[in-house]
Amino acid sequence: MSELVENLKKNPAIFFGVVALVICGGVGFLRGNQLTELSAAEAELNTKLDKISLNIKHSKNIEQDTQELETLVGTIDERLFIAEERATNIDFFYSFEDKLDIVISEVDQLEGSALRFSGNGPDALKLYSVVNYEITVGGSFHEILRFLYEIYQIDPIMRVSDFQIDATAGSGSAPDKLSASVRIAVLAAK
Amino acid sequence: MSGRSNIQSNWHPNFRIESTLPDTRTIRTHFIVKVAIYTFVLIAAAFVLQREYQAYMLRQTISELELQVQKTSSADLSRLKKSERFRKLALNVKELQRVFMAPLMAHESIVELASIKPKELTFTRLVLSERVVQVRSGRKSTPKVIFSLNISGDVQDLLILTQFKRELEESQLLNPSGYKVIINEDIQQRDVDTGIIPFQLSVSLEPAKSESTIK
Repeated sequence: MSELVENLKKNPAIFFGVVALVICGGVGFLRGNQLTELSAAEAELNTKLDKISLNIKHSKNIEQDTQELETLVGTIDERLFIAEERATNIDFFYSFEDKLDIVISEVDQLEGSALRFSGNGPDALKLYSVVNYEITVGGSFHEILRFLYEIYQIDPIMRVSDFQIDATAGSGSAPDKLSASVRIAVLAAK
Repeated sequence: MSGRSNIQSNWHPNFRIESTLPDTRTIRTHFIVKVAIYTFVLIAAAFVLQREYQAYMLRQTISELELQVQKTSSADLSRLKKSERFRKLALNVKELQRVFMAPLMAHESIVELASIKPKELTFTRLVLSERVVQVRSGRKSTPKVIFSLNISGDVQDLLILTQFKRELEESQLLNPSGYKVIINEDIQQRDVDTGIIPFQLSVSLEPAKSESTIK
């Protein structure tokens, strides 16, 4: 050992070389992780920027689209039935007698939402509810067809979910008259 | 080698002490050791410097990226809020679409049936209905909506009924995409006096992917 020290003293260049090697090794060892950490930080920032540019791309015209959607949802909300206003709702269906040459003999507001749109149903609704009406209507084929079409295109949001049209009921004095039992699903406020 | 400087006071070197003799080899060991150490030092220094330079460049890039993120993050946050608002509003429209999701529209079905009905055939009853059934898939059962259209009527010639059934099968309106359509016919006994044969056609529309058993 002393011989090695002696030799190093005699050759200062080698001594400094060894010292430099030790320093380089130390620096390499101590700062070995910094590149990995910096690369990870750079990758994270790049991901963040990529996300931001994707957001920019996807949110093109978002303000305008949101406004349009707000208007549309406002229109839907204006056209909703209120389940508690039974008299108003039932009267709405009877009013079809004035517009069309049909006789509405019965309008029933059914209790509870249809199974399809209820909590466990396949098309469960969270923001709205569906109120069902059972309507018995009599009239000619064309008038009943017109009634079904009116239901389809009228302002309040509703759809004929079930119907039964019988020709036999109108036989006798008025053979062209039909009797129909129609179930209507109406979109209502929750 | 190390004894080179330790010169003997004798009048001539003692050739038996090897360390006192001058280094007469073609390639001197000293030189090789020095070159090797300097090479190692150079390589190590270059390696360390290169890594430090890389780290320096990375730090610069990171600070630039951070600046960019800072500049855009507030606008991005506002965009995200608008997007969230849009998503929430879209849920309303989706629910509306769910309410209207049905393969058959009442008035359209009737018009179509009336247009393909042969003159010799009479309808006595038309029934459109939708019902929820539990569809089993393994141990799990999920509710699904099944739509059906039942046509009851009278006919005197059964070939007319066959023709009507064929037209019904080919009808675009009664074959909506995404649904499996099954048509069943039930023919009753002929009335001996009138020759009329009552019949019933059942059109069942099931979501196309329901392959499992239905309760």
